[in-house]
Amino acid sequence: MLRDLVMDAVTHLRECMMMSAALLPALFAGVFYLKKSGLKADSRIKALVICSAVALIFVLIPVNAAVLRILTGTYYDAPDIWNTIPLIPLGAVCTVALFGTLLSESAGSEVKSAGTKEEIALILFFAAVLLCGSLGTAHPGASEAKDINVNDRKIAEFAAEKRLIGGDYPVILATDDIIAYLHTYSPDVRTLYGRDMWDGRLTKNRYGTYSDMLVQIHSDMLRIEEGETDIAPQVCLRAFEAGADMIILPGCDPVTLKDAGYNVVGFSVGEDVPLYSIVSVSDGRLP
Amino acid sequence: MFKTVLLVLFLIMITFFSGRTICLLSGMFSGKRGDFFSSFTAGSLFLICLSFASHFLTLFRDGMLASEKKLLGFTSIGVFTVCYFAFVILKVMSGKTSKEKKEKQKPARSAFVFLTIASLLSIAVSVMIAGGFRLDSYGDEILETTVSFMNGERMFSLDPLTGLPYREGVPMKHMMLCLPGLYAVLSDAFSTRPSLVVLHIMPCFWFVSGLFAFISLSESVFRDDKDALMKRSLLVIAAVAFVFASDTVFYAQGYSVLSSMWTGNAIRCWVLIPFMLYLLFEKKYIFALMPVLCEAFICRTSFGIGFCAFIYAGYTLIMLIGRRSKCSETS
Repeated sequence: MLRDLVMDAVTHLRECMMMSAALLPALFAGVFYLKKSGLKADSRIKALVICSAVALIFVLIPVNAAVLRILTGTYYDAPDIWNTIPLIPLGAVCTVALFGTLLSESAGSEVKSAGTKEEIALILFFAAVLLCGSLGTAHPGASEAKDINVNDRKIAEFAAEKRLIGGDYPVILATDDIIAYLHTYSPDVRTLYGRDMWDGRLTKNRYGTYSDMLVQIHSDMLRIEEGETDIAPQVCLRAFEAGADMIILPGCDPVTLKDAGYNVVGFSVGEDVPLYSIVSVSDGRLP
Repeated sequence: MFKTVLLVLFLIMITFFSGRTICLLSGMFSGKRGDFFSSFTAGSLFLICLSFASHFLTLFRDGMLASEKKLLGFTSIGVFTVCYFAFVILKVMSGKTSKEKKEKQKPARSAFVFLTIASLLSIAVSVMIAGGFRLDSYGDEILETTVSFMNGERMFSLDPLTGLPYREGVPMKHMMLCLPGLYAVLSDAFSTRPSLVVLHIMPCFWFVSGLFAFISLSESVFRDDKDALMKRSLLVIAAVAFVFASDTVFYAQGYSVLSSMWTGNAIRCWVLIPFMLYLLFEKKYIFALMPVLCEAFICRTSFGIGFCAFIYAGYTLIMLIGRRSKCSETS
């Protein structure tokens, strides 16, 4: 238990450092504004700064996530709790309030004092931290459907129109990008598994998990994407057993799949573009 | 294209008129009527409430998108009509003549420079969000859920990520979240692709609504200041700067604003919390409960107790303690 608490504390500290590019200037601006303004400080801004400071202390203590979980019954993940700090309005209001106070002071004073250099240094510090913070962009999450390439998009749209003999939509197995795109394109399409297979944040909010067989099929599809196309026939066998009606495989040899007894239709979107193989069981269900 | 333009106009009209009516009504009690910016943001919150009401009723009725479309359609037309006439009447009742307008000091030239920078920055970021240059749907399935609602089946009967029946089901507290229903109704009613509505139009709408919330907040903080226009412009610039500065990890607030503005989390941190702070700064404590409610309607919170509620409670408590200590000092 102690080890878990220490790990939690380290995780929170790392998150503090990641958030510090925005949080540090915001809190510093608030504190300096209150110090500069003294009794003339706007009580509303004072309340906002104190509220945010309390929220930060609350966030820093790792056990609070567990306490919240017990009290409310919901797992507030450590990253989610950072939303108790109104970071953007706090930073904006405090920075401009501090700037306004410094401006009034410098306009009112006739003699430039050494304090002015400190203030300029402070402003430069804020600007530098904000600029440094804005330069690093977070790594985007997994499998963004918008990032799908044109060829995958074409085959996905082609597959989405396919119907079985009885009129139902086939259950499709394809690469991650194609599966992710299919469900943003058509309301009727069905796939063997969904984006929650690889998107951990989606899995967290759902009941139930995928069977080991489906997880294995997904791993094998990733291997095929990386070039291990020789496992394609075995993957097809498992996928059809799991309930798939149509499998889209990139870059696989259609002859190998035909020799394995499957019905294979090649799909190419142009010259020098990898051929896709649309594989189905040879029972004529998929025309 | 024409229907997409109609959709945008519909959003703007219903948001403005409903928001303005709410602000004028609120102004009759508090004496502060708000301006165009706070009205627009209030209207966007009202749209969330309206959407939740129709989504909630539809879930208990037949769970079909067509029913929700009918309900939301009739309600919004009714609300728009009532609000339009109420707006006219209230404006006449509480309107001020040009003689009553406060004499305002002409701002300095530098203020217009900052105003121009703030405007250009706001437009640039709005275009960036509308254009979808930084989309990320990690951990979010609103688009898939919106698309799945349009298949003619009962809502939440099919898993939006597979198209197959749910393996385990969806808890009611997740089904009640109204954003997928709102987006699906708008897509269906205006025959617009769901991806266009969810990933481009609505993020821009919410971003602009949040910008207006910050403008309202700036008006509240710097209303009586000498360089009000300059400071208000600086606040907008600072808000955008902090968005980019907090764009460091995928769960940071700035990241969600830039990459997933259609989600409840992003709307909460960019629209609801700043607007709630504006209302609290204006001492409209009852009206400030509206963002708290809206968070429950759009975010996966525990029984509606979310981060807006924490901030509301924390701020109000600190203001109360401050007032009490001032009273005890003077006595």
